[in-house]
Amino acid sequence: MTGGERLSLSVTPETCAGTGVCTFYAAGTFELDDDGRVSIVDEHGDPDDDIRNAVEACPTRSLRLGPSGGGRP
Amino acid sequence: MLDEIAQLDPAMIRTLFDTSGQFRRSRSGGDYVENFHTDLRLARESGPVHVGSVEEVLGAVDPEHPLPYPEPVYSAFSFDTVNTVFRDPETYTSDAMRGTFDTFGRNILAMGGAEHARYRAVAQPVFARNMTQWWIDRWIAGITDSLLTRFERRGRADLNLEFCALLPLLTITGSFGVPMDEALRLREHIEQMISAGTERADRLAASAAAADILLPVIARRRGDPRDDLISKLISESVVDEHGTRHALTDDDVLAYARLLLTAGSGTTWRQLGITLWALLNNPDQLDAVRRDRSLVRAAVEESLRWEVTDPTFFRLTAHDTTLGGVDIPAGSRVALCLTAANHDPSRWPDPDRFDIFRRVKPHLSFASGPHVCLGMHVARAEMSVALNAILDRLPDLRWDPDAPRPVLMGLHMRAPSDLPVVFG
Repeated sequence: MTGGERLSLSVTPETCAGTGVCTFYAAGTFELDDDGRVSIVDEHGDPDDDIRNAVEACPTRSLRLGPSGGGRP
Repeated sequence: MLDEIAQLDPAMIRTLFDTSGQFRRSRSGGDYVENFHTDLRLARESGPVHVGSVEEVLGAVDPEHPLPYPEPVYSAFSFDTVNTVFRDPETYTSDAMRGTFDTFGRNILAMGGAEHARYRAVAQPVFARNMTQWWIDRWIAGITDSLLTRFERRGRADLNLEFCALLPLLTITGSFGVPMDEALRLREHIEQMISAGTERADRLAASAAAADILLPVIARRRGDPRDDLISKLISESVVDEHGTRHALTDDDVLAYARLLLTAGSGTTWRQLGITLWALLNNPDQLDAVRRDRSLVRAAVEESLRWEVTDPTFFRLTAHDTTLGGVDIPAGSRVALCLTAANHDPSRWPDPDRFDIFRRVKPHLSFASGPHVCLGMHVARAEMSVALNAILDRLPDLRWDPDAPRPVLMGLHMRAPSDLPVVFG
């Protein structure tokens, strides 16, 4: 990332299966609650590449990166 | 624990885990020692999806063991096509794994949709990433320590038989409360149960023999739960299709146990061996990891990407579809070549090179989509703890100069032929 464009991160806990893939790639950004559903602890808790890896690898596509200010999809 | 490990039968360990031995070669397509990565590259370069099985595409069909599949077979070799299949379970179903229902019992490997999600949720919490320290403290660290203590003063070892084989086996059997003196026998039953070349009646007998070891443990834990995997599974419940919660039956627990024992005692053994093999063949990278342990994670991930121990998984098409430009009719078997996908040059530059310094990107070694490997965090923990401990306690680790240099072998299961090392 060049750092020019900020991306906003959103999660859909309802579809999360609690596999913890995101917490492997970006442990400073995501965590699972007591029910094993994803939440964001710090939107910039890891380098952008790590957050992108987590979003890409999510088995249930419960994480989303979009342009900042674009709102939730 | 040292005394118990000392009682394990070395001949039985050798039979079950010597990758270059006859028993293992018969089970892993082990006579295949060609240049796997080059063969896969040639296949992928001629198209992301091929008609025929991986064996047929690579020209590696064993004439004495023709392919057992009654349905048409297609094979996928690119990252995008393999990832697409894993992430579209409605088109590409796990019915291809239904054969395991016979021997394991009804298990998550071959379930789909809502049933898979309900049953997977039963075991997911104990395999969550925040449970890795529990696995390390309860089993992984102690077993690692004991295994290394047995040979660290000797100056040489076969890390395959003396270490890699035993750490995952004793971890998973320990977590199921199986006494150590039954661990190898259980592994033998599991091998027999999953062996493609074994008659169905013999596979069912092995499945029953595994149950004979496990059922008494299940009964004991139902009365007297402990802080282990088997107790946690027993205490879980599953929501049925009507939304009603039920305790897991003994059959549910047995099916899970057979699945987890199979996966837990085979894959990590071989993947840890692959990791050590690759590092020993790249002494500069081994040295870098030794000096900077923050690289352990990258070394494990690169090993997973570079050489997947179980390189091929299967799905069955629910309807006619098109993949990578190839029309595939309903009811076809699709072989997913994970290693080829992990060497896709559009994603990883110079993909055939083992390089722990490359940027980490998600690979497909633990699959992707809803069936992503349940045990991935435990497997990573075992390999990380093992690699750190080996580097701490076996200084100047290197190949044994007096032993032939081992090779990676196997078509269905990849592993080093052995790992003869010296140190100190």
